[in-house]
Amino acid sequence: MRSMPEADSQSPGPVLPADDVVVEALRCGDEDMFAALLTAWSPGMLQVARAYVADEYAAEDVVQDAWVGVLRGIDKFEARSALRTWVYRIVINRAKTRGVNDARTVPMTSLATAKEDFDPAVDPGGPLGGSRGADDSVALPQTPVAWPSPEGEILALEVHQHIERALGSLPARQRVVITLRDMQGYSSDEVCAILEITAANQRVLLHRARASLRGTLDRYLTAQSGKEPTR
Amino acid sequence: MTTMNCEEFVDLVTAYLDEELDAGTRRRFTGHIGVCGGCDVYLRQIRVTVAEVGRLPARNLTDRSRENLLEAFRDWSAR
Repeated sequence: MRSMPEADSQSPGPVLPADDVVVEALRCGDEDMFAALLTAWSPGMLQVARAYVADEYAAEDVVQDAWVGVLRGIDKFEARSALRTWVYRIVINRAKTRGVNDARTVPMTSLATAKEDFDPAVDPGGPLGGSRGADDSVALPQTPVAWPSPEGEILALEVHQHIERALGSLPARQRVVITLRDMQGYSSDEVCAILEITAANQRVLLHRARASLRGTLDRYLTAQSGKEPTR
Repeated sequence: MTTMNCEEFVDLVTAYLDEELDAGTRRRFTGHIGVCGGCDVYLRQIRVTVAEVGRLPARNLTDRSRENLLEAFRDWSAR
């Protein structure tokens, strides 16, 4: 037994021992360790899988399947990446495959393509940005107007619903990046490693996703304030 | 020091929040906040957006899936 588990300093979440300890425990059949991993990582894996598949049920299947894949592969895991990075790559691969297969069997469902990632970012209310189409830029919004509620008060269920819906309309790659960065709180380095993309690409995807969600919140909150004139 | 316009500001928001701007660009960025109320608001709204996304409720596997996986683990480790 090691004395003290080393905190995973990379990002928030439940404290797990260092990778080598976890891997050795799994190989030795330590069910508690496996259970701890399920608890710690499955929520993020479900959110990530959801970027590629049609619904929560498919995401649940994908994550189960990915965990079985983890067990099958753990003996050969060589720690060339962090364990969590490797696990996320497995879930993303499976989710992509599932997403493509589901799209083939469901007529009228369009496949998400890489092209979508390069469509101009949607930041509604931004006609000033109309002439700009560069890949790495986000449409400039009209002069932003402060949102009516103080930051701490916009926790309403409705806000969450608007965000959830907006997440659903993001291209898969943008959704995965904002999920890992802003929902799971992972570092940009880890997200680049998981998705095997460059830091610049990661930032563009995150930038577009955030701008798009800000636009959604802006439309909702500005409409709310319109109902109650402030002056 | 050249001034920063709103377009450049919006393009750099994510790099700014990740603390990836070089010192000079960072100074121009924060300098722009001081003179442009709209971009000040925009930056705040991006921060609120990030925070709200982080507060979305997350769910875990269903109990049934979890049980299935623990059982799969027992089968696997008895291999």
